[in-house]
Amino acid sequence: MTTTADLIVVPADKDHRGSPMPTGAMIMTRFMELRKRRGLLIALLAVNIGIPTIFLAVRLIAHAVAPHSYGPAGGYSIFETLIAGIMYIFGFIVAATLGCTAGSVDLTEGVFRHLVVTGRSRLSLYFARVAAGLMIIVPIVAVGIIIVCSVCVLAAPTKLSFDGINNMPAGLSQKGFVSWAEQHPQQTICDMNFRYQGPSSVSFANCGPNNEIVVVKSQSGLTTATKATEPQMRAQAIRSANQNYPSYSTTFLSPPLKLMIDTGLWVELWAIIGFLIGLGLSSLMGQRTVPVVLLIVYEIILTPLFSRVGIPHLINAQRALVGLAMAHIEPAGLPAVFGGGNGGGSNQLVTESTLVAVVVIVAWIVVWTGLGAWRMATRDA
Amino acid sequence: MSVIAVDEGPKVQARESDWAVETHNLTKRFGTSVAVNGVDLKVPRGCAFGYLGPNGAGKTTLIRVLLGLTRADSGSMSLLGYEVPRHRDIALARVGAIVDEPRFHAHLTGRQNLQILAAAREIAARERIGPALERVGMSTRADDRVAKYSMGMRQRLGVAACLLGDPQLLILDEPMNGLDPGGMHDMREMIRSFVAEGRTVVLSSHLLDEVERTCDAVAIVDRGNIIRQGPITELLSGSDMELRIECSTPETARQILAATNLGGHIEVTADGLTMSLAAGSDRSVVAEINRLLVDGRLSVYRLELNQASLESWFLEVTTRLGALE
Repeated sequence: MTTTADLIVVPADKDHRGSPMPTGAMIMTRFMELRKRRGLLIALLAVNIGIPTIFLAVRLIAHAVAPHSYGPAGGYSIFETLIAGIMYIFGFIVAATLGCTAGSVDLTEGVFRHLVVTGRSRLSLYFARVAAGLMIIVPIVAVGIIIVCSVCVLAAPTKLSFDGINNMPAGLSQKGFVSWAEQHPQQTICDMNFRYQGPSSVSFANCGPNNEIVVVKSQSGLTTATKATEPQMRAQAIRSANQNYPSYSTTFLSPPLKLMIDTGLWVELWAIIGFLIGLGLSSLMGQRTVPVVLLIVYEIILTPLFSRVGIPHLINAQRALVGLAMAHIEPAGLPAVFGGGNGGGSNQLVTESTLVAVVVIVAWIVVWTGLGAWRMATRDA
Repeated sequence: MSVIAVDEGPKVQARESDWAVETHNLTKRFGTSVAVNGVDLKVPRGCAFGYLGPNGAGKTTLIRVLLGLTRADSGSMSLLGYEVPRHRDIALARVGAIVDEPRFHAHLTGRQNLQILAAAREIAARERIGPALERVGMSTRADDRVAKYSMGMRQRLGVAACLLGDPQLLILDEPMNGLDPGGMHDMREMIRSFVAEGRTVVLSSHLLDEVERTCDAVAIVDRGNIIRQGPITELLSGSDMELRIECSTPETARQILAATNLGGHIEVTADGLTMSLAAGSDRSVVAEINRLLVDGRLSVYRLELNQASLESWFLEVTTRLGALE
């Protein structure tokens, strides 16, 4: 019979059980555990892939059946709508929900203590969740973005619609844009926005009734409208074109490659941040529901609110919000998310430098990951 | 004694010790309440050791402290000769444990749950999943979701999880909970087979009868203190014995025996009476009692001298302590 003395041999400890680095097997089994949560995965797939796919599929079918009634399925404006309207905001929420699940289920389902008694470092258990969660989030968001980009490029309209002017050529330089305006003064004057804030005594060619171009003059309380001459119309068309070119230059038939890449990385980063905050917060609190609610409130209410309202005494606290920092680094060419962003912060109420924005983002990642790991290492199992 | 822990780096040697578990003055408090109060526990290697106590006595807390699930406030401890928490990772490499009830991810199968736990152990643990499931009789249900498992099946899966590390020490917290009589029998047999293989099993329970049938040695804990510990036979040999008497008029017998100094407590039952005798009482005392009853013109039908059961001994000890307080 085997004696006790023979059995008291601890085998070669080559699995680095005390190391904070998780093994590949730990990551893969944690990945399996998260992947098998059907409800969560369905929500993740629905928001990041399902909704954009269905939306685009319906538009493709509608355009194929009745092209005169329904515009092309893709294009730049659809890209903007899907990215800024759905994937960015709801992608964060489902990523945060996945993080909250990954950070709390071992505790709530009573498995954490089984894992701790293996002798494995608690930090490695935590970091295995980080890696496994990212293995789920990153590809799903990437697939969603690739689908949106593909349809928006392949099914883009062939003619540009700008400020209600259909069939405008796309991709013109400023000189070309002005030249086109000179050649189409009536469309330019009647359809393009024009704002003049100089003296009121200056008169411009304007769009009158029946799209007739007139020059309105006010003198001694008497207003007269005379038909604009060709030079007056061309001059006004040039003014209007110069004023509208910045807006035109960010309007495309389909999203440019650089914008798609930048946007993809930006949405991925936001989803990763959502996951890491969810993971850290739920590990800290030891539960899932409250952190999920807190993060939804943060994303849907607090971030938009603090993006739009600058509070002088809290301006630095507002700058420390990761949602505002992300809005600041939003790729140029996308509509403002939460009222911020739009071309690197030009329209932001709360201004901050790009360096500050990057520091805020890194700090949120490090602090929440650190807090979650610390709680994981110190809590009673 | 073999004491080897091999690593690429500096070797950590276990202290040579006959004890699988050893604690010294171990204390754990929760606020003002003391859950583990200066416990000195020694669990011999290669035996089934019962850790007995009523609900709330601090059994599970001690186990949690030993396994590093919660921190001790003071004292020292070692598992398999390794100081913990200093060498916790090496010590726990050869420890399997169920704490509280065995709980798993309900949406995964039993096998998948074991894969998660095996991944946290050494590579060889993955090869042990099949044999472990086989051993606890769960092979046929291993690919069902845990949500469909009964409590008994979860207990078995918990034991399978313990076996993944090829443990030299198993710590099982109330493993009989939720088991039917057949399941309890199987669990008892399994524990005895572990011991037969040279493993040490620490069994925490409040089921005295099961512990008596399964374990070689016990410690009794109450309100965070260990009251007694040692081999069951030794502990019981120092306890009172019980004499059951069946006779014609039990009440008269009680009066006769109460007038002597042969025994202690006498209790009249439906078919006779029972009398406690001092530890070590031999057959001559029984003969003397028989003579007294016959001289008192009683018909004696039966005399049966019993060693006290663990349950009666436990009650005797705890009652005595309660009286002292």
